[in-house]
Amino acid sequence: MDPPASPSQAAFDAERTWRGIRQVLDFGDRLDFVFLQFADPTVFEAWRFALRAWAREQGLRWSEPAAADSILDWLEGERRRGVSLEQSGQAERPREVYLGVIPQSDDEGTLFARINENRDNLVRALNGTLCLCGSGDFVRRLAYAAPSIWAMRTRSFDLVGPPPASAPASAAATHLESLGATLSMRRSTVTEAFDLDAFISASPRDEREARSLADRLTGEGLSVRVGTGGKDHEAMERARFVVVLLSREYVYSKAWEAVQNSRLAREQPESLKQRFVPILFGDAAIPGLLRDSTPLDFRTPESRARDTERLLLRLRGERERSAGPGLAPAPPVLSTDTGWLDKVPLDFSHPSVRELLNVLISAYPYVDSVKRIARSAAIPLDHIRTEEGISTQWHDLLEQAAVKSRLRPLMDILLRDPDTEGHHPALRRIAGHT
Amino acid sequence: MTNVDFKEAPKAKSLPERIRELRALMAAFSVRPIDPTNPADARRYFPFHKEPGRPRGRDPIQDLRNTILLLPETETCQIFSGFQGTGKSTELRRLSLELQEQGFPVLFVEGASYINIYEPLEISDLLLGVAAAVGELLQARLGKSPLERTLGEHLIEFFSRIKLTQIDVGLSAAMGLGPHAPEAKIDVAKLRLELSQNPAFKAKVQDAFRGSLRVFFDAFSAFMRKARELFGGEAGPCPVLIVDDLEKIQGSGQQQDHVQRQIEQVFSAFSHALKIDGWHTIWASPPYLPFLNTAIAQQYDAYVLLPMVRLWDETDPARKPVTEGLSAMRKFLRLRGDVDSLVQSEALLDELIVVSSGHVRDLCRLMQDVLRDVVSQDDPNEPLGPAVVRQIVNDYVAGAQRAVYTDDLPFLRVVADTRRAVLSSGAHVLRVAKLFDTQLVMIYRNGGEWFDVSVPVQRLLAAG
Repeated sequence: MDPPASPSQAAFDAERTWRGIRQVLDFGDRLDFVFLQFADPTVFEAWRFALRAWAREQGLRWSEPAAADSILDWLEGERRRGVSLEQSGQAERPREVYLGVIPQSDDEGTLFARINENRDNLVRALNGTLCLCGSGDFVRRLAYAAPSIWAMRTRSFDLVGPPPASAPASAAATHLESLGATLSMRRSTVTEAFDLDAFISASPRDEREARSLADRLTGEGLSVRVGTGGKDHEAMERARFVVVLLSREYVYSKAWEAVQNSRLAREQPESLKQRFVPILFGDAAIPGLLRDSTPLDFRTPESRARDTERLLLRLRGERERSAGPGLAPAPPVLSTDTGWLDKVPLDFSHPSVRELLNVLISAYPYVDSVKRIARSAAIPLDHIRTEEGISTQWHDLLEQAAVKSRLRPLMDILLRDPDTEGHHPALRRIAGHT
Repeated sequence: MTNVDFKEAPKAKSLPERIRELRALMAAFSVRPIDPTNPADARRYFPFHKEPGRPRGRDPIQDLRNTILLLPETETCQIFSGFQGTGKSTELRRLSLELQEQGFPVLFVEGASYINIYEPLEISDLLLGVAAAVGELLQARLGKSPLERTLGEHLIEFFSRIKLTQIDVGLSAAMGLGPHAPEAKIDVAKLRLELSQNPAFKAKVQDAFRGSLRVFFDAFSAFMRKARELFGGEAGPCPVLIVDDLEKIQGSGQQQDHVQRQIEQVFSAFSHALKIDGWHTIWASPPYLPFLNTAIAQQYDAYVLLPMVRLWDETDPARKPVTEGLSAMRKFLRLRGDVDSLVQSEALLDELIVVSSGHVRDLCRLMQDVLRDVVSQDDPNEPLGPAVVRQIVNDYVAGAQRAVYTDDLPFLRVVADTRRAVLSSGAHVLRVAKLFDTQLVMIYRNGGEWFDVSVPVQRLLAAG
C-alpha cells in the first residue's frame, strides 16, 4: 500500500504546530488522543524535550515509558494509577500529558491492537492528552490498525522540522544538544534532561528483587529502568536517581563497575549524595564511594516496607516526614485468629477464601497485576496458569501462596498496595483485622 | 446563507466567566450517548428526523418500533446499523424508553461490557454474553424479591448445562457455582469481566462449543424462556432485548480481516439463533455488514441504518450545500451552547459543518478545535475570524487525509463519481469495509441510501 506524499519541510509551520499541540495539552475534555508523526528521530527528540519542558512550566504532570518499559506496561501502569485516583473521589483532576513512541517494528501491529482494545479503559482512567508518536506514515498505519483510536482522534501533527524558537529556553538547549552540540553544553544540561525517575543498579543475582522493586515504583507512576550489566552508563545519566541494591555480591558485579566508571562518579562526585540511593539488601557493606549517602534498609520485611515508602517519597521529590530515625513502622495489619491463612491446602470452600478470591479478581483484573503481586510476595509463577482466565490465575496464586506459607505476607503486600486502596477495607475484614 | 443579524453585540464577559463558559461548551461537545431518561441529558438530544427536508431520513427508530408494535406477542429480530459516533446508542436508548412507555419490558445491554469486541466473535461467546447480561440485569431488577432466588436457580441450571465448570474452574468458583455455597447469589459480573477482557477465556468458550452448538443453543433457549417468565410474565407482549455496541466489532491489527469475516458469519449463518423465542431482539451491527454479505438484510424482520446528515444532494456533481442539512446542523450545534459567540459569522460555522461531511462526532471535534483557538486568544470573548477557522478546517482535512492509501484512490474516485459503493470483485470487500471504519466513505439517505466520500477525500481527489 502506497501512502500519498507527506507535507514538505518547506511548508512546515513550526510555530503553528507548536501552538496547536500546546492548545490540546492545555485545554480539552477528559482524554484527547494526539498523533505525532515524524521522519527524523532527532527532530522528534527536540519536540519531545520542548513539550516536556513546557508541560513542566505549566505544572502539567508528564509521563512517558522508561527506556526499558514496553508502551503497554506503561499504559497499564497509568491506567491503574488513574483508576486509583478516580476511586479516591478527587473533585477535579488536573490534565496530564502521556507520551509514548510506538516503534516501527514487527510488533507494531500488536501494539496498535492492544491499545485499540483498551481505548475505553484508557478513556475512563486517564485525564489529559495521550500523545502516540511514530515515524514514517505512522498516522496512516494507526488509522488502519487501530480504528477505534482513530475514531476518537483529536488532532494529528507532522513534525517535519524542529520546534520554533519560542519553545522554552531549557528545551532549546536540549534541542541543541540533541542536534549535536558540544560536550560542555551537554554537561550543563545533564541534570535537567532526565527522562527516567530512577535507574536501579543490581547484581545479576539480585535482578529479580530489582525488578520487583521496579514494578512497585512503576506502579506508582514512576519511570524506572533496571541494569545489571556494565554498559548502563547512558541510562544511569538519564535518571534523576540511581538506586543501588547493595548485596554481598554487588560490589563484585559489573553493575558496580558501571557505577564507578560512570561520568557522574568521575566528573560530578558531589552529586552522588543527592542522586545515589543505596539500599542495604542482604548481607552487605557500604562501599567508600557511597559513604556519604544515607542508605535505606531492605534487610527485614518491616524495614523494607517502611523504607519502600521513604524511597517513594524521595523519588517523587517529596520531603520525608521526620519520625525519629526513619518512618514509624507501619502497624501490623493481620490478626492472629485467622487459621485459614495457615491451612494447607487452602480451603476454597471457606467463605473468607471465596471472598478473598472475589476481591482479588475485582481489584486486579489483569495478568500483569497477578505477576506483579506474585513477584512482590516471592511466590513462584511456575504453578500459576497465566494463560488461563484471571479467576484461575488468582485461584492458583492463592493455592501456591498457601503451599509456600506466603499467604500472610501476601495479605500484607495487598494491604499496602496504594493502587487498590478502595479494596483495603474488604481485605482487612477478610484478614480478620479490626 | 445570510449573515444579517447573526451576531448581536455581546456584552464582554469577565475572563473567568468566559473561561467557565468555554469549558462548559467543551464538555457539551464531548461525544457520548444521551440518556433520554435523564432530563438534563435529554435536552441535548436533537431530532434530525423532525427537521424540514429530513436531512437524515425519517425517524431511524420508527421501523424498529413499528415492527414490534405490530407484532407485540410474536418474537421479532431486527438489525440497527451505522457508523461509530453517529448517535446509534442514543437512538436505541430512545427506542427503549418509548417501548417501555408502550408497556413493553425492555432490557438494554451495553454489548462491549459483555463481549470482547476486538477478538473474533463466534455465536457461542456472543450468546453467552447475552445470557450473562440478561442474568445480571434481571438480578438488578428483581433485587431482594423471592424471584431473585428463582433466577439464581435458572442461572445455575444454565451454567451447569453448558458445563462452565469444565471450561474454567476458577471462574466457576468465583461466581459461586461450586457445591459449597449453592444458596449464594451467582456473581455474573465475574463472567462479564472474563468475556469482555480475557481473550483466553473467550477462546476456551469458543473451543468448547464448536462441536456441540446444539447443546448450547438448547440451554440458552431454555434459560431465555425462563428469564422471559421472570421478566415479562408468560402472557402479554414479548419483552424487548436491545444489544448495543456490536457495530464496534472491528478487530485490530492483523485480526481485523478475521474479525470482520466472523461477524458476517454470526449475522448470516446464525440468524436463527439471534432470533430468541419469546423475545423481541434488536442487534446493533457494523455498517459494512451488507457489503460482506448482500443477503443479510433479508434474513431479519427489519434492517435499519442510521446515515450521516445529508449536506449535499446525491445528484449534484458540485456538491453545493443544501439548506436543510446546514440548518439542521446549526440547530444541533446551538442546542449545545452559544456557538455563535465563537466565530464571526454563520458562514464560518457552515464551513465547519460542511467539512464534517455530516458526521456529528467529527463536527463536535471541530467545535472543540474552535474552542481551543478561542480560549488561546488574548481576549477569549472575541470570535474567530475567517483565517483561523479556515486553518482549523485545513488541519482537519490534512489529518483525515493522512489515513488514505493511494491504493484506495481508484475505488474512492468511483464512489465519488457514482455515489455508489459497488465492488467489482469480492477480493477487496474487507478492504472496503476498512474505508467505512476509517470514515473515508459515508452513507447518506434521501429516499434510498447512497454513498459518497468524505470532504477530506473529495479535496484529495480534486487535487489530483
